[in-house]
Amino acid sequence: MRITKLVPVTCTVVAILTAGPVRAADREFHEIVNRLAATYHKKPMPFMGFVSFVARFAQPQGVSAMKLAVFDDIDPSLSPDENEFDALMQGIVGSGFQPFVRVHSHREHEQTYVYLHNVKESSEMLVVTIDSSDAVVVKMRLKPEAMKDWMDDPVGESKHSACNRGLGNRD
Amino acid sequence: MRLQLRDTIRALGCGVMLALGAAALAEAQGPKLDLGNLAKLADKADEVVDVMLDGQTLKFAEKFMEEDKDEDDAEALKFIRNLTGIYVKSFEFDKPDQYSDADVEAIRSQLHGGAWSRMVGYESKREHEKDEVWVMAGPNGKSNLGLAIISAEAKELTVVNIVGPIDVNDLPALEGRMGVPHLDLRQNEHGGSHADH
Repeated sequence: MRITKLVPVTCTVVAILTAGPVRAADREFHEIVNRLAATYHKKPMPFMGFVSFVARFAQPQGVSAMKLAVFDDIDPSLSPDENEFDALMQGIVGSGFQPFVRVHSHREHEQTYVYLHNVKESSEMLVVTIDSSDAVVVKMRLKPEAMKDWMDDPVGESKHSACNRGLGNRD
Repeated sequence: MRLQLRDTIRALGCGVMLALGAAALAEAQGPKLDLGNLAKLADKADEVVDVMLDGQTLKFAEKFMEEDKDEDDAEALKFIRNLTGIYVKSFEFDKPDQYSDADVEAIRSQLHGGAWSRMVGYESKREHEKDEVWVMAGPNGKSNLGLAIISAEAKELTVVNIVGPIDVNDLPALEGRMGVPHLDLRQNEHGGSHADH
């Protein structure tokens, strides 16, 4: 009986203890999500926290701490101008993250921004993809082995990263 | 007569000073090119790609390449070890003539004078294509300081800027990786064939 009562208490304590550092480390992610929510006047798809949690078990080797936010059915007319969004992104991520790849495809009405923050043994990557119907934000930590694909084909990886790594093929 | 001679000497002096100044400026600019003027082409382009690998990211790339036993990685590793940047800017247009000679000249002008010299050049009027590979020599002709590729096609413009000691012969190891496009440089040098993107 006592043990049963202790479980939720323990969970709450663990949640409180871990919430602080996680939130601080994910500042950029949350700030971008908030900006997109304000831009498109909508909230990200619900249960993305749960999806992010599940994705941790299905993520490719060398990828960890994945966070995901998806805004579906966005109004593309509200999408910021490329240069404006570029400046906005740089303002949010600051000097800690370096721009790595940018792809603007008018043909596919898609913009992708990839930023990289290298730390000792791993790299934090922030990917934002906006197309005519969805906006996806992914933050993940990559070990050196997971960076191989990105180094081999940074453009190809960035074009498909938000979809493939986040939600599977969404096409 | 003496006045004329003095004017001529003065004019020559000014010319020499200007030439020296331009050369010093080109050298002072260093191996990293300013590609900012190309930004205006983004509105006309169908697709714009920017790849920016700074020294820190390249150092990180080194780690996995060292761990990996891949032969291609081992070859590329030799060259990227001392690089401090790889920058690629590429535009694809849906129709020809969407960029001007002046747009390309703004990049090329940074390569004229100073320590830059053109190592490979290919032009096909029939295919509306012009490819150039430039290398910036280091002091005393020792290892190069950087490399630039300009590939101008009818519907595509790509500029690659590699900062750090690299030779034209090292390029094949990087082709198709890290945003560096596929170039048939070996063929270019011998048979004069064109770059293949």
